[in-house]
Amino acid sequence: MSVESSTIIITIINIAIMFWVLTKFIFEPVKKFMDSRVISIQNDIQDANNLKLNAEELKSQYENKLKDVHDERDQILLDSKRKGEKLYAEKVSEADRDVEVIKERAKREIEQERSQMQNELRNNTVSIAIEAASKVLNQEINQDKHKELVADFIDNLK
Amino acid sequence: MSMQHFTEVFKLHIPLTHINVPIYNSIIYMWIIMLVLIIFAICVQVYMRTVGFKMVPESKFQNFLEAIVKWLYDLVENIMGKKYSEYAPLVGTIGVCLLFSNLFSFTGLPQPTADPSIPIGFGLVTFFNIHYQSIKKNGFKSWIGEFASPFVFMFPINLVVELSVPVSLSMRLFGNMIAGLTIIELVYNGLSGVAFGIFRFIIPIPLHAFFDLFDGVVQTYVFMMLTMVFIKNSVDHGPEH
Repeated sequence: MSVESSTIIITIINIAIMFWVLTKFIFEPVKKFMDSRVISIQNDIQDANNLKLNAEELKSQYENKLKDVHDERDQILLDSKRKGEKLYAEKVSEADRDVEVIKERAKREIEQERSQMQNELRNNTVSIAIEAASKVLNQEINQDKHKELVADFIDNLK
Repeated sequence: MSMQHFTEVFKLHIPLTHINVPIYNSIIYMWIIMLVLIIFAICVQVYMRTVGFKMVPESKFQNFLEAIVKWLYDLVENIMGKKYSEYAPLVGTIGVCLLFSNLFSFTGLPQPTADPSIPIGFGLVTFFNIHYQSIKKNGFKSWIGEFASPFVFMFPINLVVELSVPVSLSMRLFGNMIAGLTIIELVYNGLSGVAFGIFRFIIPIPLHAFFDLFDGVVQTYVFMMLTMVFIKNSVDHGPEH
């Protein structure tokens, strides 16, 4: 049982070799792998959080847009309703006006026709009366004078 | 029965010199342990390069390795602090080598750490690292200044304190190992005279459990702890602390 300096030195060399082998082959690669996994998990969590935030932002954006669309739709509906009502009222009043005009025109035409008829009737009546009178009286009367007389008579009848 | 466990096996001639290095059987036991560990390390490398470690560990082998490495780094970070995790491989190497050496007695051969030269080698590795890391981190001036603190005349006392570290480390380990080996051998010798042969097998079992398994693991742990604490103390004494 003695201390051998050569054994001590060989032990130190042995430990140095084992340090190199274990560090390079086991400790460092395994630790590196575990550290990289920690980083990758952290990144994944970060990414997931970012995605979640983005999704929430998008969701609120879409909700706002949807609300806008709803508002716009309501506005368009209201507008078109109002426009339609206005148009309807316009059309109705136009039609009323047209009816008035047509009625007026018809009335005028009727009036015109009637006065024309009256004139014709009067003229005819005058000529028939003159003819009849001249036939009945057999006397020569100035036709113009006669016509005047009868017209006066009819005018007085009115 | 001879108490001489470690004898010279052969002389190793170093080429181009006249030096013949005596090789003891304790060194051969260490080489056997190293061979096993190197084969294991190569297996780990082959596994990592072929099968590869998975992000979600499924194989028992990967879980086993991760558990050991994580345990080692956690231990170093708990004892020394997070910034000293770089020393984990050193502490781990000392721990693995010591554990296998101390438990080598389960092969039926004496554990190599019962040869005083081998614990001295381990103690010197820690000793060199204590001072090498201190010089590397804080510079030579700071390191030498530590010996003269708090007063210059404390230099010889500090020197003795520092030199006692490897002695205490290696003698603690050697004492425990040789004690266990000797006691178990004495018990075996004593039991050889007992008539009932069955006692020769039953009585040593608790002794093996205590001196070989328990003491071997505890001494490994103590050696690792002291290595961490001494390195941390020497590195922490720098000017920035």
